[in-house]
Amino acid sequence: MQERHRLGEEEITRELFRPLVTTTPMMWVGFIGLGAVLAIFVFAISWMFYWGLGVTGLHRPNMWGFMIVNFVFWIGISHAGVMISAILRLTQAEWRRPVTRAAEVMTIFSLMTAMLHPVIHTGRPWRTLYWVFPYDFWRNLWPDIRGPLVWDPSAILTYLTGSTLFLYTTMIPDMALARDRSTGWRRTLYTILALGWRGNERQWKMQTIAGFLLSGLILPVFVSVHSIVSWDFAVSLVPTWHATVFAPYFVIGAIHSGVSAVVTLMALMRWLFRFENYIRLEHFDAIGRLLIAVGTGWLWFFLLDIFFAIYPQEARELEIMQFRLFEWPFNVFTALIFIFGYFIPVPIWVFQRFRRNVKIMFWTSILVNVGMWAERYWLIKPGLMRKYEWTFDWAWYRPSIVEMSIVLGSFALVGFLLLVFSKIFPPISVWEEKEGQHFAQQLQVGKRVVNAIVREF
Amino acid sequence: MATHGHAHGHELQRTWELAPADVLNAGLRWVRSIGTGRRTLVLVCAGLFALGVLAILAFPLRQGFAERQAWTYVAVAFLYLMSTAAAAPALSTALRVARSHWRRPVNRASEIWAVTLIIPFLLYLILLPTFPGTEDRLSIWFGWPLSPWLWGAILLLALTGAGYLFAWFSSLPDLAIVRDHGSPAQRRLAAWLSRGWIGSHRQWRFYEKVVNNIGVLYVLIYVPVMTVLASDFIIALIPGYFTAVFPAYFTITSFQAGIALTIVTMAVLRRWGGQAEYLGREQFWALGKMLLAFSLLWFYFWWSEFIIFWYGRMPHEIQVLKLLMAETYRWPFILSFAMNFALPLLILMWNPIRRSITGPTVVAVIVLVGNLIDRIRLTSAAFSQPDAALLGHAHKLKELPAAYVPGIADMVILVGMVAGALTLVLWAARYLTFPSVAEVVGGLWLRAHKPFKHARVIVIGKTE
Amino acid sequence: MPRWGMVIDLDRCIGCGACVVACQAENNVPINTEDTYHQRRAIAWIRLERYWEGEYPNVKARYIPVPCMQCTYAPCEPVCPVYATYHTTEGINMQVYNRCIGTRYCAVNCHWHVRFFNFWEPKWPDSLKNQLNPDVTVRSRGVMEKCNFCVHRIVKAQHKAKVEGRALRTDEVQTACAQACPTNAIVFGDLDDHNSTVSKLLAQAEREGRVYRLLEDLGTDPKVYYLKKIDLEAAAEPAAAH
Repeated sequence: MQERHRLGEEEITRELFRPLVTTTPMMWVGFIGLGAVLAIFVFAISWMFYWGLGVTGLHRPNMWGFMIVNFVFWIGISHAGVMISAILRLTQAEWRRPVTRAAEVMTIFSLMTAMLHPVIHTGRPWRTLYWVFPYDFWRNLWPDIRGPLVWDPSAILTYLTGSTLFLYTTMIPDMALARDRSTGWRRTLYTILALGWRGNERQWKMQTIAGFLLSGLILPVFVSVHSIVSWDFAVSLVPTWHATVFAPYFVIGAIHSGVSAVVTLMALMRWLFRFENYIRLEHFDAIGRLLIAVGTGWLWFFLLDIFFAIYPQEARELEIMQFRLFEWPFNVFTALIFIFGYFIPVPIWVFQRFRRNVKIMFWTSILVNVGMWAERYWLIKPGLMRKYEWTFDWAWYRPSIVEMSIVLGSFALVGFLLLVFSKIFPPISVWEEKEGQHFAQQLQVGKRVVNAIVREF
Repeated sequence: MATHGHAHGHELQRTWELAPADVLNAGLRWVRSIGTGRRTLVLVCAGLFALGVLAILAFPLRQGFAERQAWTYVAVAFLYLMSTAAAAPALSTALRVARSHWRRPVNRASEIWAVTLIIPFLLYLILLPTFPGTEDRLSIWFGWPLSPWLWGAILLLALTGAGYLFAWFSSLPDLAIVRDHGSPAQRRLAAWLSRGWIGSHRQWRFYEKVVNNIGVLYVLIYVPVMTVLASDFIIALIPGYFTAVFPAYFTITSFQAGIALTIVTMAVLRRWGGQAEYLGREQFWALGKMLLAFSLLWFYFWWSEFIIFWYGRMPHEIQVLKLLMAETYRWPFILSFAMNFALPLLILMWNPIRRSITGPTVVAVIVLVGNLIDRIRLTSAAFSQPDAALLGHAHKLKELPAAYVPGIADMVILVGMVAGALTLVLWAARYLTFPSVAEVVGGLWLRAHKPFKHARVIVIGKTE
Repeated sequence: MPRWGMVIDLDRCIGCGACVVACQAENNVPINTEDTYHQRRAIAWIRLERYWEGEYPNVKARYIPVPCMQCTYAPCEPVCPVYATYHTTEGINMQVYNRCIGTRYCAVNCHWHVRFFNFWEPKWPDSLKNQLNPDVTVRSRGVMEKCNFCVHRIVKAQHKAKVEGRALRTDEVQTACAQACPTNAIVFGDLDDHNSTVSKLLAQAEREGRVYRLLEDLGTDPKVYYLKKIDLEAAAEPAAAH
């Protein structure tokens, strides 16, 4: 922790607001590059809407494909925000300060991206909207609440609402700060968003209480979201999907991939916005330690899932297990999941030297998410390709170029939104940084100087 | 991390105002106070344990290993000790790894339970012959040679070894204190155990590194052990019980019971052990929060299994639901649901209760009983199947067995084994200081009084 | 209240595929071109599965016609978020095309693979447009469809009976596939009516131990019963055609 610098308040404000006022060449590259991919994304979706789902690789029995896999993946990523902010806020972990904002924003954008998938996946999304907006109560035809696809949007929308409120609550003081230092449309925007924040004691107290309450309330939602997403699969009778472990397994996998995505984001922000003074090596160290525990927990559930899928020794389940463990291309996926998801990154993270190396942390976090994408695909697809004894109906799934563009585009969408966000709002919570500076103390213990924190209970 | 005084009505733990010498004195007071009360308790517990051993010899053993149902309560005692006493050291490790300071006086209270591991280990060894080999039945060993006997025993042995090492290494500095200041009777064993501890720089480095690592190792063994036990003792003995989440349920609820056991131990130490200055609201509050979280997890892991079976409506799954929850063991299930989830949630929801000494203690007692009922329910259901029902890779529970009602001998076995664990803990407590002087004083070294705005606060450094 | 069911005697089935064609014509199922077959998006409310048994030259073709099983506890039903698939009081698993939004969850949770999705806009050659059955809706792109035991025929018969002021007669209704079957392998009728052909067939086959249902162990209680092929050489069971 030797790298901690004492920074003045003015300096913090200036540096953290820098991305809002200056656009570096790299940011332009980001905007244009991501924008181009986004254009492909929009084109692919429009193409699909125009011609119908025939342009995808979906067929019978592979009724669900890349879009659903990607949906699960992005829901997984969205678990990072609350994991980092709410849990670390409740446990008052100091190292959360520079990552909360980015993690929460990523939660919201990846949730929105995720929600897009099941909607466009129906092929005629206006039909979905037709039943929802406005709901035609007069016919007394309610949605079937037994359907997991009704639980899904309920959980996700609750989560989205909750995380947006949570993010907004933590942004109000920064909005006031921005309001006082801006002109033009920005000033108008920040004035509205700041809700008349003056920073008096009562306002701070309300803001703190609201933050804590929302963290507490959002935790059950956070667990429920991916559990419910997992039940989309597990309540069906498809062999290898019908597994009791799915809910906690999906949740821990989501945390694994989400927290890794936060590491990726931290490294990118540090590089793109030159936030070396804020996103420090000790933060990578701490999040790396957290990832060891999360990754190992995930491995346990992964192995439970595999072992107990084989355990009943039922022909139809064994058939799929055999298929996805040993046959191309799923054998490669299996290897990817194990190696990228666990056996490369975690042993690396065990060493503090590597945890404090931004490049290594960046690339290992990318690896984890490659592995986790493979895991989602591995979990969802084989069950459909080899469903029950009907060898007559077994079929391969080959995603079409349209689906691939949608998957690729979803990454560009999240990246683009994040970049736009950091042009308008400070990507690191300014007031939390300042608060952290106040609480930070140094202690002389014997010959050593130890970092210490003053904390309120 | 730090505490500071009087904000929001939170009183500062007295611990942080003590001098290191006070802590040492408190520890020595503990070592020197072997009252008749404690001695009687040890004798009673040892007597009950002996009765329990006799009961095992007289009843299940005489009926033979083939009669698995007769062994039900030996298995209950085993699984209950694995869920409580063996889980407590895992809690201690988690607290060490999280590096919070409030845990310092707590560690000893949970680590000391590792000394009981020999009892479940021996129980496991005598339970092993009741299991048929795995060649012709479904099991997580998939017919591996000598499974489950040899490999399960190796796992259990590793766990027992790691547990004793953990309890031993974590108390090295305190054993040295007992060696130097204890009565002659205590000194001999303490001297041997403290392995020439003189508190050199090198020894402290060893202590810091090794204790944490052995603790982590213990957890890393504990989780697979519980996974295997859940699978061997419950899942594999109920045909058609195809569930991947159950081992996780079993492990997580064991952590819950481990937390509850620690809280109860703390409450006893506070009330009768003169530890009021060390085990205060801060500790009960923090552990109360954890207990609440794990009670919610009890529900979550149970529900994850239930919803899949219930929604799927496959006949073999419905049959299992009937056996474990709806029909045969309905009341044990309802009680277990109430005591492991509903009551803890309803009581600990309220922060003022969480923040008290009584609140978490009462809930911890409820959870300990609830966990026992849960283990009785699962074990009784699993042990009611004869070998014939399992062999040939049975896929379905043919008919619901009758509920197993324990007899007096079963009760004597259960109480005896738990009393045996208590005997060991009480015996080990003779050679250890309460509170752990090394831990608490280690925290005091990192403490400083500092000005903060208009107040003076106590700051506690967090080493990286 | 009738409980509609079907008995398919595999001993009589010769694998001619007449049922498939009849169904196609009756229910306005779009023409399955070679392309749609290769895309595996062909729609066939009743399909003829062919499994080869044995090695050349001792090879045998086994046929099994698979319509919707009309499960009593259909797994496809509760997973639909908009009640587009529901159970009628007469035990038929219905699809409401206008409600369907295309989540395709029902197809995922149907383990007999008898639910079909309209991936493309259905098309007919001009010459066939006048042959469409006016009693059956033409489904548009993006909705699921499936066998419904020719429900329009049932409704029509019930209506006729009502007009004539009588109850529905035994075996008054026939599905298109049953009607077209040259060997009478497919029989449709009321399972609760003891005089119906299906009930009699079932009762007799039960005595012979020939009755089984597909994926019966899932506990969904399908209402399509199969009668085993009587194979003198091997007591092979088509259900176990892995």
